[in-house]
Amino acid sequence: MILSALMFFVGVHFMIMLLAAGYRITDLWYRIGDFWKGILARIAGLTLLEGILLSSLSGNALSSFAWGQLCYLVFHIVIFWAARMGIYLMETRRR
Amino acid sequence: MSLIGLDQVSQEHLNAAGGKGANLGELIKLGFPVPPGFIVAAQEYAVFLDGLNIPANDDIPADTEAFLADIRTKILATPLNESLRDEIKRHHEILAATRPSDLVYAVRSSATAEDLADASFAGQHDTYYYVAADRIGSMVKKCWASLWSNAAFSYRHTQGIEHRTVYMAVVVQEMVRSDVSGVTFTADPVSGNNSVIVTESSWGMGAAIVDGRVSPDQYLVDKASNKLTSIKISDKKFMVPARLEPDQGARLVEVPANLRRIKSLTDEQVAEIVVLATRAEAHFGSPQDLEWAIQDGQLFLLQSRPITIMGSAEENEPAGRYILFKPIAENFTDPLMPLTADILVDLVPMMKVIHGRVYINFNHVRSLIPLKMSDEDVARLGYLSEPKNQNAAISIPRMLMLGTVLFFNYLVMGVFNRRTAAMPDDFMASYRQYANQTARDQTITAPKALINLFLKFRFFEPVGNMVLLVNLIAPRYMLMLRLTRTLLLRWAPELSADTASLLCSGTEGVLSTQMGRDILELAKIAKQNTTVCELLKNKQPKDAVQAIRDSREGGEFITALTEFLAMHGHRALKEFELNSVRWEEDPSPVLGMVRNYLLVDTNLEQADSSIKAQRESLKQQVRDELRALPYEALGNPRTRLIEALIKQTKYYMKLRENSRFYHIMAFYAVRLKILKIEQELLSKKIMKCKDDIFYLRWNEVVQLQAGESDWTDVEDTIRARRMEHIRRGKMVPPKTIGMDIEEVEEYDNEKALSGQGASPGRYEGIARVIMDPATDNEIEPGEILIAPYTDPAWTPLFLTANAAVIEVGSYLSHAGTIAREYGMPCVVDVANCTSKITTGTRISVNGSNGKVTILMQQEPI
Repeated sequence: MILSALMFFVGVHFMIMLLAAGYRITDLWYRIGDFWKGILARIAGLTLLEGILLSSLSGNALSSFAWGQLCYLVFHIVIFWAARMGIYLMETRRR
Repeated sequence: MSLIGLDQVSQEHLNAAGGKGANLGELIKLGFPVPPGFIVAAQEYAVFLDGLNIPANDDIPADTEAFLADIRTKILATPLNESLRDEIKRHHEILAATRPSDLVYAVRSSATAEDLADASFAGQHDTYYYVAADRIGSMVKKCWASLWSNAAFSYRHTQGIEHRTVYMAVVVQEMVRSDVSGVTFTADPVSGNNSVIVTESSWGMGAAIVDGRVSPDQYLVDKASNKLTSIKISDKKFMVPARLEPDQGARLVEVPANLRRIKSLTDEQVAEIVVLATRAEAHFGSPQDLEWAIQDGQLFLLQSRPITIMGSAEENEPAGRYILFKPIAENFTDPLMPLTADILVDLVPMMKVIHGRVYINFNHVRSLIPLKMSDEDVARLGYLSEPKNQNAAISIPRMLMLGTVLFFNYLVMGVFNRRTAAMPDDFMASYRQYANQTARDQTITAPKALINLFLKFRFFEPVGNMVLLVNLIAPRYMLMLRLTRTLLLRWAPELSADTASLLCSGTEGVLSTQMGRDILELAKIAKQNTTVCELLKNKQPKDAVQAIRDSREGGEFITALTEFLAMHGHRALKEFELNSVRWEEDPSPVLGMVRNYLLVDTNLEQADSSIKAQRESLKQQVRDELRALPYEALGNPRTRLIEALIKQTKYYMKLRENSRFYHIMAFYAVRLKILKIEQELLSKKIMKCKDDIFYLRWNEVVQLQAGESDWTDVEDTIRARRMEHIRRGKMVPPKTIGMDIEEVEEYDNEKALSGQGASPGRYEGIARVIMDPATDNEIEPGEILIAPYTDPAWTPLFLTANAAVIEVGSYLSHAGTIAREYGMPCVVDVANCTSKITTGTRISVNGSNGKVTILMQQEPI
């Protein structure tokens, strides 16, 4: 149970790092010529680590890790739209 | 008798002459220098009004605005009777025989309930200046009509005064064409302190001061000793001139540049006014509010009435409990203008603007403090004061609540935190383009622009466009700094406690620091060119720009100035305030700072390299100390950890300061939109005066734009809010609202002041109190800057000063950050330091323990 919970949060944190690494393309697009190597290295490193983890984990630990990642991805998208909705309501109230 | 000479009335004639007229008559009898004139008696108004059938209070219709407009129209449309017109003409001819040929009048309302001790009616009724003899009759009717303005009606209603019992006399008095005018209070109208006499003065006619359109100079005189104890010279931007040019539409004109920042009264004139004020107070037996004017060196008394002490701050307070949270409050040292408050208010749900100040909801803060503390102690923490109970126990339910909030924050902000890590210095530069684009887009309203620029992000937006969020995550450096300090104390106890702070300063790429250096560069360019240098030294900044542009040699300086403004032009004094003029609009403050460098002779580069050398030496000392520890030979783990922490601390410190540099652009974008609307309303004559728009709320601006309301609908509101804004500016905001908290004693005694150390080090020197860098920016090298607050406009002063003591602020504040960068001691949050310490006083500043000691006090002026 504890291991499952731990792997779930590792999955969450891993997804945070993966998303941030992906966003780095847009964040540094204005100087992509200078930074593309670093961005690619980061994404490749995390993907490699992800592959190692997925292949080395099994059973509950593997599913908890994967669920952690999936849950965070969904949360990340939902929270973005929830924030947009909040702002929309704020603007509506002002009108 | 329908008309009475001013010199024939006294306080016994209140019913005929009204409050103002009776007072003026009384003053003439006592020998005060009051300009001559006559009074249209209140009985004339009563007769005139007889035919208008004004109902009693109980019978006034529900639609009072329409009712009042109807009365005003009737008054203005009905002609005066012939005998009254003849009387006015006769009195004018008598007066004109002894006066100059260009005689014009001030026609002043004088209601019978006016200027009484319990209801001053200040500003409720109209006064007209520059009235020629043939227009006295129509202006008298206008004064009568002003008794039925919405504001005057509402004031009587609030005071429980029956409308039909108030009559209006009108004072017709020779208009003093004043060179200087002002008001004098024989007690402080804000605090009620009756041991001082407060005089406010400015150039031209008094209307600019009375209407709050100009920041006047202020002179404080101690009543017991008659000594001038304080002088505050303001930047007097506007004046109402004594003479109008033939085609002059607007009465408010700009004050000539050479007069703006100099004293408008001599010490002798202040003394003369004080004598008059003291005499008036002694005669009337209560603190007086006097209006006076000086023409060709001669002082005239225009009015003396009882002071109405300003209202209590508790009026109009919302329900609930609110506190001033110091890290926010230090950014809003002056009350916000109504439009700024209205646009900002929805941005952060926990925030509320009360009395023009930004408060946060106490209950929200309370639930996040995981300790069993009293409300009072939590409020003290909010204001960064020491709680009474230093050993509060942990509250498990609140701990769980805080844990949940932190975990949610980790989930929401997790990706964002990672995205901002290890970014290049220029990653937020795209925000400038984003802000400019938003400012230009006419489909985006001002409030929406602020929301878009601060909160509304697109999914694949670069992180550089999310500057407010960058600003919110950056304070994590506090934790890193604390950890560095703790580890250094454990591993290298021999080193000074300030080591961590010193090592974490001196970051390259901090834009606010860079701004100071860029101004220094401008000064260097100016210094190389004699013409530019002389123009800057000898002309007022506003005139200097044009003169340099016109000169042949000024090209290089103007190019450098243009480049500077392209980078820093969005900055201003009090830059969260939408009303603040940005440097791009008026670069005078920048030129003032350049001039400041030209006037002093100091080698700033040498000082800079010496600070760098000190930091390097300290770094080496840390390495040497750590090297001696066990296992350090195995790859220097401690040294690496400390260096990594220092690097991260410096990175996030820079992020915080630079994100502020950029998010200020959002305020400028919003300001540009408002200025565009203002321009449109002024050109359509819907608004009458520049800057009045900032006294409106957004929905009122929209209504004006849409033609749903016009000037007459907002005129009274603007005036009332302007006066309220001035009142708020003079009040110290309560630290808590809806709570009864004992005020903390902020300093120990008269000689030792306590604050918060924001930049370590000790320094002893001469203090220089500067209240506003736009009007007073001359500081000698080696002096200690004493200021009420600081923002980027103050940065250049930090280059010249050797230490700083600031009234508000925290470790994170602008003053602390800049002082650490420049390696000078700085103590912030020193209550009342600008009044406790006077210029010339010798003081010692200890930025390590937050102590300021007065060594030798300079006597007040």
